[in-house]
Amino acid sequence: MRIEKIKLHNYRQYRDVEIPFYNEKLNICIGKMGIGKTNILNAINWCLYGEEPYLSMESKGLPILNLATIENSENVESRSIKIEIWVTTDDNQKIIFERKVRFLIYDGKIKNPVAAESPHFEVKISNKEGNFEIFKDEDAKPYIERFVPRGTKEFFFFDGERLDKYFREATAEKIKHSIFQICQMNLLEKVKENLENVIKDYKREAGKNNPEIDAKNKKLEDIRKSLKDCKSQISKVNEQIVIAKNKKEEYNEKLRGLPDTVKLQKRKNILQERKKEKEIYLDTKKDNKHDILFEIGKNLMLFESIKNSISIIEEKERKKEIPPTIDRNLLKHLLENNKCICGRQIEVGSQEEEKLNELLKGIKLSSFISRELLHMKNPLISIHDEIKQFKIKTKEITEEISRYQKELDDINTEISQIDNELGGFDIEKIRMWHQAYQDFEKIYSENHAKLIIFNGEKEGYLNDIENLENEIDNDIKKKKILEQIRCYHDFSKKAYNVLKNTKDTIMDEIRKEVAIETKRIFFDLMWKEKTFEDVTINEDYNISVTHVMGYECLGSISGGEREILALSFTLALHKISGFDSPIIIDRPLTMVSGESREYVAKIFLELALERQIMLLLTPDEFKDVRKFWSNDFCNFKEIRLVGEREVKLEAL
Amino acid sequence: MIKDPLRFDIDEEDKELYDKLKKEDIFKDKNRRDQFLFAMSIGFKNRFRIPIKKKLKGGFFRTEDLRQEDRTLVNSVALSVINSIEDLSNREEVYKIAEEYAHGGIKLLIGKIESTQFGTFWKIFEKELHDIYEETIGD
Repeated sequence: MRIEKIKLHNYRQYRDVEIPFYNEKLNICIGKMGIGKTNILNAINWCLYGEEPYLSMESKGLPILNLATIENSENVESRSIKIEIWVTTDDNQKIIFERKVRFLIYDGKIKNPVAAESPHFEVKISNKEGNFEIFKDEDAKPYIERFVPRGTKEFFFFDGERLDKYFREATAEKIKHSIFQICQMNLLEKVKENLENVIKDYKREAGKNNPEIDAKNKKLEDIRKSLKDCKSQISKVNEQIVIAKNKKEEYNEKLRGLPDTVKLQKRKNILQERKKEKEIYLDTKKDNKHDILFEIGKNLMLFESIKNSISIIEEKERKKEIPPTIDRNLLKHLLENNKCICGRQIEVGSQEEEKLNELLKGIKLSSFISRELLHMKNPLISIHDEIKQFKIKTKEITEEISRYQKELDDINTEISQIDNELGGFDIEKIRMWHQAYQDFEKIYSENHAKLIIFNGEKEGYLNDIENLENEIDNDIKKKKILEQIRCYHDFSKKAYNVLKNTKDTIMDEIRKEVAIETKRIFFDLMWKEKTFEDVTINEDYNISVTHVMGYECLGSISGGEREILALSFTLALHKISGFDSPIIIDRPLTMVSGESREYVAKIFLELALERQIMLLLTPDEFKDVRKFWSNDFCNFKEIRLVGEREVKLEAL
Repeated sequence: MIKDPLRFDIDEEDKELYDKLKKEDIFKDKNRRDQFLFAMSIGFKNRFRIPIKKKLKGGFFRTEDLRQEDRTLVNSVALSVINSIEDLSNREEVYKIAEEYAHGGIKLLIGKIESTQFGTFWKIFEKELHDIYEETIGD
């Protein structure tokens, strides 16, 4: 299907505007921020579904009816809003979707709500004769479902931020839901739900006749409620796991190739502590060496005198001059006073005096000298021995110093290696990334642990439900009075099981096809060759992108790559579902910058050859990519303000 | 009764040289006694003995601060110089010999220190000691 044009009448800023859509050309609408670009998306949604999902805060405060129209209206005058979407099918059938509402203007204001009619919706379809057949309200709705079904509208009309966010916050639940929506599984699901209710009703009916069954039914309901709560918890936990996983990958990618600053800084701190310790040891050893050099060195320089002194002392000892037997001074004193040591008087020239003189001649050294020499002996020997140890002692201490110096050099080398590794990096930023990675790692692990617990609980509830249902089934079988109910119940249950299996099989088949198609489109569109190895959606509906290096990289792909992936997934859903309706994207380049922006712009140009695409851009976004979009392949329109309350669409 | 002089004297001009010694790591913790004895041993090794012209007022350190080992070295130096062993009892002379060698020694020591790059003296000194060891003791 192709949109030919959209006609807006009195809708918000658009008083009377026709937006033409071209085939095989990229349709571009450029408008400043706040001018009303997004209201084109709202107008389409309002026309088809009666809702405005992308209203800005500013627009929410304003009436849906064009302000200029209100101002220019007479008192008590009716004015209507009308939006028409003109569509052509592949076999050239014309379809016009039209929604209008009439307001009563009273005293320059919309007299709301009483004065507004209920919005009136109709679809006009051309027949073979070229005449239009008109279908209104409920009769018209099925035609919307064949154009863009309500459940899938967000895959056709969306804002660019959604493309960026889609796989940032993609949980398996979301992906499953998307596949569910696009594949129109609602009908099957509805029938399934109805059968579920029918089965419940039969059980309840049986309960009325039997209090035991009734009690079990109530218990079953309680367990079902707990199961629902449990599933909701599992869904929340899964969401946290996906966010944490993606964030972990994002930080891991940021940290790839960067030094592990936390580890290196920690190692550096340990080394610096060790360095201080070694420096103290080294200084102590150097001081010890200085002491050895000073003490032994001083004695070594006196070695000759020491050796000489030891010889003198040994000579005196050999001659028995030391130690002295008699005090020389005492003898002198006795002779001078002519007295014996016993106090007796000695005669001059006597034999005693002669003996004392002989004795005095024999004692050559004074007692002072003898004492000095004797006191010198031991220290001299010890100094002498110590001097002989000089070589050994200096060798030992020098080796110790070398060892400490070597250790210190090794530490310094490692510190400078760390400094080199860390050089040029923003250490604080990397530290914060490491911290963030660890935080998300923690969230990831905690939620995984929770998931195991909740899954255990879920299994328990499912078992309880199965057991109770079997018990109730058996109870119903036992009671003959409930025979008819049992027949209805068993039939419904069989039908339910068939339906459930059919739905699961279809969903799984479609999942596989969507995965293959997403991968194909993604690799077709990706401008970077040899970056990614694979794109998969597994049985649990988890999407993953594998880098050529083998690691999972969904969390760390760039904004442009993420947008292409989301676009590939969206297009895959379109293809599998068979819907090729136009795509309208508001601000698709907002979250993409630099080189990626250029590539994404080129990709839209390629896609426009195969299907109708309209992009709503700001002048800044447009300026960046204008050079890639030639007039031959694009149709440019600019939304311009006319006065204060109205906009016009003009060719650029 | 033979008594030691009360103080060891140095030449007035040497005070500044002893102060300079403190700048070298190897001497930084050494007291005046140790500095003096080291200077004496350098002076003795080089047979460089200079009479003191003008004593530093108040002396350099008290002789009672000498340990037995230090007294032995002072006596030993004197024994190598004096003619008679009896002269050892001339304590004034014994101490004068030590002072004169220290006077010569401190000049040599400062000369050596100032001729080497800062912080490298002890390495040169170590090498000299090894040479002296080889000369005087050998293996």
